[in-house]
Amino acid sequence: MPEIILKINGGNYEVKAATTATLAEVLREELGLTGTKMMCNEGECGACTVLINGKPMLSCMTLAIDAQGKDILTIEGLADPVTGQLHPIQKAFVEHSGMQCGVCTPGMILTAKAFLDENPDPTEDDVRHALSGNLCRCGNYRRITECVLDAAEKMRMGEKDEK
Amino acid sequence: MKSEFSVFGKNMIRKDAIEKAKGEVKYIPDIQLPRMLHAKFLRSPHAHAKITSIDTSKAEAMPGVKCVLTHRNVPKVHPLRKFEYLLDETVHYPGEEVAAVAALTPRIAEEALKLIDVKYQALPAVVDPEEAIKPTAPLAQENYGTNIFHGTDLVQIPRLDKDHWLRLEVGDVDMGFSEADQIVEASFGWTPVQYNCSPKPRTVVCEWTGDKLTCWADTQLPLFVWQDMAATLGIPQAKIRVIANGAVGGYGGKMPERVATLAAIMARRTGRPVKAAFSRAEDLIATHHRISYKNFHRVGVKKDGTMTALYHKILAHWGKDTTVPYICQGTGLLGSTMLYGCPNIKGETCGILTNTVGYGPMNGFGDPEVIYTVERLMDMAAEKINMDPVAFRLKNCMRYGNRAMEYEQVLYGPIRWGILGSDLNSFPELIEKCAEKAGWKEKWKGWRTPMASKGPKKTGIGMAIGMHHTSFWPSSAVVKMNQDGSANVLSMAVEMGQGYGTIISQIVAETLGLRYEDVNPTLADTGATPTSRGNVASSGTSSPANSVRLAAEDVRKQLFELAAPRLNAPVDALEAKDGSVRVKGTDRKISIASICFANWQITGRANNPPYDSIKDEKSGQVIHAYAAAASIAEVEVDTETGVVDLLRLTSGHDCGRAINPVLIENQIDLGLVMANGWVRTEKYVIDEKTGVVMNPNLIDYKLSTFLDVPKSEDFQRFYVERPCAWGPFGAKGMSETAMTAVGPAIANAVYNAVGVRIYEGFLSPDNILRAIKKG
Amino acid sequence: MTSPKYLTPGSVEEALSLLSQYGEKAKFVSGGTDLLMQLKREEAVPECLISLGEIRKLDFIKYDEVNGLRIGALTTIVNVANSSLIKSKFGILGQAAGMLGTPAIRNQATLGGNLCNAAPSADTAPPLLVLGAKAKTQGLEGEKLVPLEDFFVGPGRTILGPDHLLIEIQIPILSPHSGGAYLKHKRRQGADLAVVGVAALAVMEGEVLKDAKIALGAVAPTPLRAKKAEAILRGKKVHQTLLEKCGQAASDEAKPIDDIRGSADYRRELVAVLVKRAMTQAIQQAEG
Repeated sequence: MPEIILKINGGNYEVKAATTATLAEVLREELGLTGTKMMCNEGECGACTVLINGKPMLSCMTLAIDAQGKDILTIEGLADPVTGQLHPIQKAFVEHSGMQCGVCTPGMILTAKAFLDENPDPTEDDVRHALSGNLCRCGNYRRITECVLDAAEKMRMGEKDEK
Repeated sequence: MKSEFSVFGKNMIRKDAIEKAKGEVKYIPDIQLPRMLHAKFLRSPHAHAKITSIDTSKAEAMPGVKCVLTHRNVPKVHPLRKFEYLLDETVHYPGEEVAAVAALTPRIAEEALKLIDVKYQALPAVVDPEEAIKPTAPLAQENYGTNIFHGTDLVQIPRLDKDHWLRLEVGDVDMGFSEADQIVEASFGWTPVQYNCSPKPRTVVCEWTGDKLTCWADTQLPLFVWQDMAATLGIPQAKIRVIANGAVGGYGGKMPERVATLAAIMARRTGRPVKAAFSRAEDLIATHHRISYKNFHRVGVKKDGTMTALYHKILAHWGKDTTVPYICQGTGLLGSTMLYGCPNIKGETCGILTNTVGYGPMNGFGDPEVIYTVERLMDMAAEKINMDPVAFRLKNCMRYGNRAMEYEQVLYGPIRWGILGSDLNSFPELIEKCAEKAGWKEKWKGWRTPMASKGPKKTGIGMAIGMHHTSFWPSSAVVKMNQDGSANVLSMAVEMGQGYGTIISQIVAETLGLRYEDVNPTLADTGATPTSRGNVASSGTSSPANSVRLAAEDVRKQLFELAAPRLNAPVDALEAKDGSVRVKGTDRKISIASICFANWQITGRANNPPYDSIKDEKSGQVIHAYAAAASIAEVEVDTETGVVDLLRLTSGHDCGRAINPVLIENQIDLGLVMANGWVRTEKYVIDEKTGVVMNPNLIDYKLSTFLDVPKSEDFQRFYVERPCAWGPFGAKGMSETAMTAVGPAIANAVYNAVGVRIYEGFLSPDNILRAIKKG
Repeated sequence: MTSPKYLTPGSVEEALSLLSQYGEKAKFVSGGTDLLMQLKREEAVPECLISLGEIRKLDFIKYDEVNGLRIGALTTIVNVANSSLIKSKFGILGQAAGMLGTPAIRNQATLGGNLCNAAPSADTAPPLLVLGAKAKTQGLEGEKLVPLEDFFVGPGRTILGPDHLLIEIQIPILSPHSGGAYLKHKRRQGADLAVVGVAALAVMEGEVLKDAKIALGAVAPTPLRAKKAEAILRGKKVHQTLLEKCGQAASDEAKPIDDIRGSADYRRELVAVLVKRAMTQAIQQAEG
């Protein structure tokens, strides 16, 4: 089994994995990073979304070996590692109950993060389309949209404060 | 109402919000224990077959394989009192477990399955329930004599008639029909089968320590799993600890069933923890789905809209399941008498066995499946007398004093009708408010008149009402005061996303005057929390949360008794507020923390009173709790393709008292989205001949996405509050009710748009197009 | 349980040389979305995985006024969908790319992968067919340019065989007053593969439809051009009845099957309606 090196949340991880092992399997089973959730394992639900070089990708549809040399961000890497402060999107989810069972939540938050990084002032329609590949069986779509729009507004205000 | 509370009724942040936002919750499939083995299951390809030989020697010899189970080396017991054995020599549906393997990795276990050599002798199978009820049909359960359920040695339904039908009658339907000015009847197609699709497929982890078992189970019913494992393993419940923290879904009856006991056996034999995790495909083919009904209804109405009689005939498809479905059927049969106050109602139903995966409870529990068709019939009746459908429902919907019962009485007897409490006078308010918010007056143009027509696209509006029971069951809870005055709430109910841990913390904080931050729930652990049934039947708020409220009151009483001498005041002059016990109207107080520091044994406990102790003040009758809903849908139908776009949905619900408004809205949304998927996109396909599931994946089993529900301003839900006679502070469970009115509202809106009735269950574009072309 | 070899050639030539070594025992990894489904279903566990990700020169979108558009096979679907160049000049392709899968899938999937997987329902195929696209392939003996119509051989099969690689797609300049539309029938508003896919291209000359091209997806063993339907419109002044006749003709040319996604009958109905609508939209765009 080949040894691969993955750059995850800013750190380097060496792991032995089959060439056909998915990034999701390696994250969860080999590295104990179970924040990335598996809901369908066939690329249909978006729960396993991680950011690879800033773009949302399905870790269950990515070969771990193919993810080498790229910057991978999982949900564990989103809050500030030193202060523990939540990312504004995480904060919005907490404050407005953007989750029910929580399984879709990490994928939802990361997808939203990548989206807001590129589109800081989206319409509701923009948000719904950006997240359209993330399924929520608990039906929390409206609330999630609210959280993302709220986070977007807070992030814009936060930038204004810094300026 | 809201200002009297400091925590109750407020949108307190979920107790589990931070860990969920950070991905730190350990769901059952996330559990990793040292030396843990992984279990996989070999499944029958046949609908009905006898295993004539099974050779596991090659699998057992494979490196990394630690245990193999077949019917030959497991006890002959019936999990969950089902007809089937733990592993059966005869299989009864495609996908049924035939053997289990525990190995070092999931991949090794899967490879080992391929080395198990099974020989089957196919037996006559029946897949179609309408075939199965014919007297010439093959027997789905070969030793059972018929395909109509009539009880087993393990499961008895006393109220089944000799012909195996379950019946319920109120008043005199014959007289009622004779009084009618119009009689309308219709037969509807099978209601869609819906796959539960819990976000995590069935998973269980078992670990023995000596002769004691710990079982982490992804279930909403730890009580049932606990009882079942004790029975099937033959050890006392006291030595089994079932922990359901990290459960998700469940959306109805989620239990690991035989898999739990099999995993426990493999863990015991190998001396290692065993995790049995279904893949999504396995979950799709081998766990129970929403029960499906084929309904015939007949209703009699007077010219002024008064309903005089209602008759239902319900065929219920059970598949291979011989225990759980009957609960749904009892619910549906009773439910068919519970939507309207009509004095003359008769319903009859039978349960049909086939060689397909079992059917059973899923969000709504047997009610949506009957309301989906009866509410379409009601529109037909309203049209017949040219009455506005909203007005028709207002006239006939159930109200305070309407007869009511618990569904278990329908199954077991005795038939002792109670009534609905005054909280159900919310129903007319719901209907009116829903109509108002949806703009019904302006938008409803009359029967067979769409709202608008633009080329091939027509828009229509439709409404329906719904209801569901919320059960009051034995439950107990403990509130444990800590030395710093913070509190732990112990309850066997499950936080699976609905917010149970949050609302009970609010209840305790409110009752004891504590800060919300100082209350923390400990849940769903049969070794550590006092017993309740779990979370099912929208009972969480009504049952276990009520026992929490009583346990908190018990603590309060103890605090007052300890504080009274120190405050030099009688107990009834005291209140608990802002972290202190104080004398009302004065500033004399003692902090709760200081009381607890010295008295660290303060523990409150309570059991729920018997459900029939809750009586109506006026009539003295037992009050049963139901929750009501009204939904109005607007759709656009493309009459050239049959495609339906859900433009707007307005839905109203009653909840007794809103403990946490945001959480209530989230639960309503769950029902709305799930109902939308149930009738429009979630098509579950079973091969007519072989019973094999044709779409065991999410590519072809389509859940609703963001884009399949209207955007926020067109997707409105609201609730009304009228305190229920029981439940904490008058709150009652309402989650499943949200499921019940949406499907028929959409169907009725489609009719308004295209003027063609659709009797099919599934409102897919091709079914709609076919109906349009026929019509 | 095999753990296939994993190779990362840096050039097309290197990839071809590996391919000649392993032949059918090798599978290419491009975006990987289709390949991973096959691996999960154990439809084919190859001896060797050849990842094309290092061959960056296959990731490009180039345009000039003479030769038209060239898209490298490794270009991601999201880049095709978001390209302002493609949006302005070959809008139908951008439109179809934007409807393929979910946003995350589009980040990963590639144009080459979508075409080489050769599902009859592939979203990029019908638009490329009506745009008159050509596939540039490369083998050990050199390059070939093949009309896309000849590229698909059957469900899941292309002319590539075990010794060729798809390098790029070439699309010629469109005539002035061209318009196109891609319509896709799905089982929900969210992502789905095409139950029926229809692409229409219209070239107007005054009031006359100088040229019409129609391609269908998911209703035959391969994506196909509905040439009889095209002929009904070509050179005519278009009106509603003619469009309906055209739709019906396309429906007759389609060869759909019954499967769990849709019945053959329903698909035929949809072809008639969607062809009529796609052509109407294409004409409106061409006129506007």
